Amino acid sequence: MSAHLVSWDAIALRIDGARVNALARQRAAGQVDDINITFRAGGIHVAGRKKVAILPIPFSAEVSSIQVDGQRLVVPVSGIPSILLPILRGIVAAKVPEGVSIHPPFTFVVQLERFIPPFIDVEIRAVHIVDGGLAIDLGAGGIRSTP
Amino acid sequence: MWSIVADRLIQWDSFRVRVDAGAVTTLIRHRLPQSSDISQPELTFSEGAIEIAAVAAGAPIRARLTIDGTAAHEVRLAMAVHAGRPPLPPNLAKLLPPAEGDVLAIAPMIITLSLASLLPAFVDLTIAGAEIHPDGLIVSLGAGGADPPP
Repeated sequence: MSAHLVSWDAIALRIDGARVNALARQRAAGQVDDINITFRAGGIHVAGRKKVAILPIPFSAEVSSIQVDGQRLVVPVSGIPSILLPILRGIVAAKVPEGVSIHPPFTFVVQLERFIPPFIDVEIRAVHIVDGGLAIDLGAGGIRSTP
Repeated sequence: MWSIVADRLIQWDSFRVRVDAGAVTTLIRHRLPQSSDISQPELTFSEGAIEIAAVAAGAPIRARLTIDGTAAHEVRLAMAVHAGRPPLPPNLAKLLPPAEGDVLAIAPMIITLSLASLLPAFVDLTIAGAEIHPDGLIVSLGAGGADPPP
């Protein structure tokens, strides 16, 4: 840690589920007819509707865990009917920012280094799904002084 | 469990960061322009104070930095400057006769380290306190939050 100009031992972060829902609804507008994301301890529930031809087809999905794999977050999504997977993957893949990819059947992989400046060292120890959002445990880290 | 005050996508409770004493010294040495009148800076962090020694315009100079106070977005440091001998608290220094080479004795001045201009509008970050220790400046940050950049 001595290489860091600024350092910390541990930080507890929270991601606000209501804000995630609002952001998702904003970004999905025009692509799906409705979407709601709710956070409960141990699971995230996604529910919505998408018109195919003239028929509004409801869909739902579940996220039961978010895994930390080094500098990647892996978010497996389950519960989507197989027939909708290619359509939804196509819609979502076009909307996710650079650094986020989607893999079959429906797993998001977030490359953290794309979102964190290279002079900041961050260790994500765990991501817990809690009532109302996510609780993230960061380990010791710091900011290196730029040359 | 949470004492969140910010209405932000990402939120945090209070935590502490350390500004590393050695890294600050290295940074100041590297950032000091070659043409500067000040050279050979040495910083020594101790409990409650940072002692600075340098050569200014060819003469040795010493200064002491202490915490004057903090506000939501700033840390204020009080700096007392003496030349040619180690600085003393003002109440003791005025009892001593002037020393040889004691050409400069400036009343404490305040240096303000401000975060206000560095923080974008979508980040709530507040300073709750600051302490100087031998390993660096410990800054306590209050609960806060951030949204994605617009």
